[in-house]
Amino acid sequence: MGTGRELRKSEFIDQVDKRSVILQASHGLMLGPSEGDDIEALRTIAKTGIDGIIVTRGFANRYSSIFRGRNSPAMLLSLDWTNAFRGRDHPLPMARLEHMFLSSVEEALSLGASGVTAYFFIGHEDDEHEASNMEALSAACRDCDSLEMPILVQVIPIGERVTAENYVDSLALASRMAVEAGADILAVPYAGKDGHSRIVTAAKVPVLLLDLEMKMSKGQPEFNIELDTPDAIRAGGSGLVLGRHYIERKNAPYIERLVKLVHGG
Amino acid sequence: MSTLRGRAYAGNVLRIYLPEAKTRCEELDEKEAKLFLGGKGLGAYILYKNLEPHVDPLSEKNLLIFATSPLTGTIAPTGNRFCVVTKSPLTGTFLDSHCGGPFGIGMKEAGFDALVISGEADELSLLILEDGKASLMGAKDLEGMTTLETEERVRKKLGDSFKVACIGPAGERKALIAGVFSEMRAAGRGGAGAVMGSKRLKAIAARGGESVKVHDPKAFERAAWRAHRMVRMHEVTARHLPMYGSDNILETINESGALPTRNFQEGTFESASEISGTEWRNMLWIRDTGCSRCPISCAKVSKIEKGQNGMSFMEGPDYESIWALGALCGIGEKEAIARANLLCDLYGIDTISTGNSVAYAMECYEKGLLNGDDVDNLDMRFGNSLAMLELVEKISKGSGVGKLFENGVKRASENLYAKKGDVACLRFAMHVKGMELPGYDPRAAQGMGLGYATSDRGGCHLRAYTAGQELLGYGGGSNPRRTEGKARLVIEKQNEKAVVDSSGICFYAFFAITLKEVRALLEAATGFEFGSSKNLEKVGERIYNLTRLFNVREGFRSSDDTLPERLLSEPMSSGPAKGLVVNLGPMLKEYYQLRGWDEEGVPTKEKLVELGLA
Amino acid sequence: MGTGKDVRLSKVFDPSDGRAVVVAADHGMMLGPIQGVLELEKTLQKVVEGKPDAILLSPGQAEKLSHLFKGRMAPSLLVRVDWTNTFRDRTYTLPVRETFFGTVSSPRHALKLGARAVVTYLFLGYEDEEMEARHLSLVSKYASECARVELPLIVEPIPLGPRVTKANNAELVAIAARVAVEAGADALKVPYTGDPESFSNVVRAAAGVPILVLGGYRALSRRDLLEVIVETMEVGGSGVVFGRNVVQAQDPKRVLEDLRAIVHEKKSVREVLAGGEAPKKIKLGAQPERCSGCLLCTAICSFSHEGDHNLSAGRLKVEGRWPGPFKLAVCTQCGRCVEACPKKALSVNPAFGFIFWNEERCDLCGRCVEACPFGVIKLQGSKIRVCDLCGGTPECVDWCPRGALRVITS
Repeated sequence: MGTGRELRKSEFIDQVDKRSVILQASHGLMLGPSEGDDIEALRTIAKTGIDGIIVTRGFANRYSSIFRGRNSPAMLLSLDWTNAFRGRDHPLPMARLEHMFLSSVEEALSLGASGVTAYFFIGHEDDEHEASNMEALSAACRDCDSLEMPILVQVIPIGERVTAENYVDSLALASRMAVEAGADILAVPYAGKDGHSRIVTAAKVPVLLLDLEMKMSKGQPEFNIELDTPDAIRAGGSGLVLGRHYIERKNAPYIERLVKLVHGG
Repeated sequence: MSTLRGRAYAGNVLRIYLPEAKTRCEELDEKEAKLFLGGKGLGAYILYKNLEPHVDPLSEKNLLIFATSPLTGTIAPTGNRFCVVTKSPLTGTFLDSHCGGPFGIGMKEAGFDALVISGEADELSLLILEDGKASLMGAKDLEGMTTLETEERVRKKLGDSFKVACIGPAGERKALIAGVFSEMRAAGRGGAGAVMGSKRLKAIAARGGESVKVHDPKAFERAAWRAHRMVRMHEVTARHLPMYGSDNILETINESGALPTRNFQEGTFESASEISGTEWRNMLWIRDTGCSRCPISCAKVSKIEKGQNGMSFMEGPDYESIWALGALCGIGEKEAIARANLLCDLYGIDTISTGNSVAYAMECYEKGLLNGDDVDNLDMRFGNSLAMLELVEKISKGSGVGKLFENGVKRASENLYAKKGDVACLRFAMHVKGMELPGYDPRAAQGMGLGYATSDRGGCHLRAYTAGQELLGYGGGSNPRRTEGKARLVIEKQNEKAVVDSSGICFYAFFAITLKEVRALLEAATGFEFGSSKNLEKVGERIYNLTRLFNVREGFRSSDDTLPERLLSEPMSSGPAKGLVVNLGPMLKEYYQLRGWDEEGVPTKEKLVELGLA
Repeated sequence: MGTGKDVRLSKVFDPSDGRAVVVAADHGMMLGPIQGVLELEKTLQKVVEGKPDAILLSPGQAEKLSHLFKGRMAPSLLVRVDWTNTFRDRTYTLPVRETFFGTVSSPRHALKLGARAVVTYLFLGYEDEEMEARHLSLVSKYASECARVELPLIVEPIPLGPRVTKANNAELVAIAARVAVEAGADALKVPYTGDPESFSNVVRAAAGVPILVLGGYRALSRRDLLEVIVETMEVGGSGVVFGRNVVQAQDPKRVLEDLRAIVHEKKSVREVLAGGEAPKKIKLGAQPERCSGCLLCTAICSFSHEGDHNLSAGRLKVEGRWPGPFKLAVCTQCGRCVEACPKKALSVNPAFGFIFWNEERCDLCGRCVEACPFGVIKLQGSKIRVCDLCGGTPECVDWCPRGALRVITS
């Protein structure tokens, strides 16, 4: 890894404990607005000590003041869009999975981002989707290589083919694929202590826990963030990616607790 | 009372008519002060106005002027300078010879901005300035005394707080390379000491209680603090000069092929490292000393083995002295150089002129133009430090063959030519207008050549010190091989230096500060308003044109603005500047054009009107 | 300014005050392995402890020392994209004869290295005007690439060369600053023009672009260094870029603490020099072996008290004549003058320790003058002049160029 990539990665991975807490704030592109997700909420949450916030291009510009100065969360730009998170409660629930890369790594650099993120799904009904996800991810990773930008890949098993029995195997497969494509950091749903340990061992890059708002696949295990995070860290995990459901001003103290849970102290 | 009193000036010019010991105090006119400031400018103005043209410089008709400047005696950095202004007996041109130390301050505090001394005293005399009054005292008891002895004796006689400027035995003899000395500093060049000797004035002692006051003390303190700060924060004035004195540059000059060696035959000296600043610091220097109010302390004290008059310390030596008595003569022995320098200081002669005279003798000797008999059987080969020392002693004392050389290289070469009939004698006498050349070979730095040729007092490096940029890499450098742009550079520097020489500060302070700081100091001290640094530069231009007018009136023209044959037609034999000569012609042409002078080098009417000199 | 430039520049200029403390350590590329940058990693490890906002390196060193910049709170990496020979004077080797510049990197390359901004020179004053045109066009090239990739461009506009004179220097700094801004600079690094008035012209010329003052040669006086920064900030400067003053210091961390105190904590020079608790009782210490006999101490003593250059009024004494050595006598507050005074007109100030003269009680008998073992109390006219330690910051100490006088705290 070259110097630029290392330096940018170090902006959201703590150099002492090598862990990170990141907030997902790119939901608007995929789902529309959430309750209380205004800039003031983000500003308050930024002060809790979280390491990074994922935004889309439009909000990178609008919310840039949150990222100013060194004592602020790092900006991560979301490269892609998907309808995968539009569950039954959404006015337009997903009928068929769509996943597109809409922003470029070059763009991320222009916005002053410290990293980019993209999803990698496994368990598609149609194998062609898996292939095109892999292709798109690899292309993004190549750009990251030449532009020295770290990439966080959020690996999510989806659909009916993923069961409780094959959950860890599916997750391990997809994690390894993402790393081989070029991911610098992974975010994965919790698969139990042994499962997470297995993912960490297979990936050999920092692995964060993804707190999913909803069940994405048939076999997705239950996850209690406060109980399971310390276990995950003991199993070699490196932190958390918090979903949009955390974005409300009143959640700031809770987030601060989670930050302390990950970074200690 | 002059309107300038309390505004950095004493407000008085003292005219002393020596034969009748008559003195008359004149008010210093504010208008004149604003046009010419002080020091060089004021001296030039007084000299030009009051001296008849074509006077014999050693006759009673010549005027001897001592001039201080507005910043003399203040807390401005290096605020101590005074100068001696006269018609030079060495060159026949205008002469301003500057000096540091406490005398200028003493003179001003005694109540006088300038002294204008005319006539000749009946006997060797001592001029005493005290509390606004002047008196003349017989000084036969000082006859033949060295400069140091003279000062000690005068202080014993009059009081320890008197500041003394004097001439040594060489000045009493009217040797043309004699200077005026004070507390081991010298107004060395051009023979000011001979003029003083011709007037039978041995010394001037000054003491006063009228300390210098300024127009706006608060603004002045602020301006002085800022100027001092710039000096403290500049590499040259805060490190190179305090650590290694002016000799800090010797090795670099040598590396550039510009260190005149063996009478300007070569530009590099094989023993340069023996006489570098680091060497002196490690081996001979025991102390840094600074002139009054000087934050730089470039001066050093050397401990020597067997000095003259039983002295085991000597002042310096500085770069020019080290070079002239060293590399120029092919000598790399520090003790010998220091002892020779001490002789010059005690007997009161200029080390540059002395060194050049010795080097000239050496080249003549090696070329067979002088034989053993001619030189009192000294083995005057280059590199012979014993012979150099002996010859310097003879020149200092005016004994034996010293008599041939105590009037400088020009006359020595002319005498020799007359005696031997060989025109070769004249070819390597390294002087311009009679003043011996300093330690930079202009074949390695074209701009210096133009500077020597157009200096108002003959071969001098200080009027236009282009070496800083051409050889030392300061200010982004200036290509030393090029002639383009040198005319403009030389003119700028001559004008700036004229301001410095008329303000009361030292050249070295000006390495760190600019005309902006000088202006701030002058305005706060005097209440004058110059409006801009450019306007202050114009004052310098005015002064430099005035000294040119003086020289023109004395008969100098463009044919005199030249260089020795060796530099114009003998390509440098070795080193980085090998094969080069000075391409003076085009530079000089452009110089006159930019100066607003005609092809004869005479300032045009337009230029004089522009400068208020018509 | 686009988002990228804004976010990156905000990690150099602290958003809370818009100011920056930057350390330049790129000298190696232009002056060679000078002291301080010879062992660059060691030096920078100490520098980083002092928490500068950014560090300027050459591209090669940026790559080798990138680990020093890891972590959110680490200093921002600035990369120099150009090179020049112009600062190499006789202090180094092969002094410059003609100023040249060259390009050694590019904004894109710097971005790859992880830089938050790039730095380039812009010179005004070339003998050959074509050089000026070429230099400006190089800077413009950098500016346009920086605009494309949203990387801030910091320009260092400096007047130098044979056409810079002692009369036009300050004016040219302002002109060069403006040219740099018009060419696309997002911030400037300029030399101090010597006084706040002329520097405010530079700030005005920069039309709102933040200006950092550069340090140049290593100052030997802490007060000088800090004072210069304060003066620039008073007229709108936004901080400092110091190189040798930090990397060649005995204690780079301490220097940076000073700089942060001045720039970000807005402390005064006095507060920083006093180091927290200003000691009340001080004494003067003399080191006569350093004295060169210049008498500036005595001159400023008289001048700062009475506004005139009457050395005999100085409350300290320098004795000696060529060839030295020189003797220094300062008031040690020994109190013998106090004892000798029959009218109790002299007393020791209880808070600060200096000798205080009560004019009303004094009958000018002069017994204090006789009693002083050092001869530093003076009777002049109708005034007694005795050292008052200048209210805690003795002028003689600050004005002495040799460090022959110092302040001793008990």
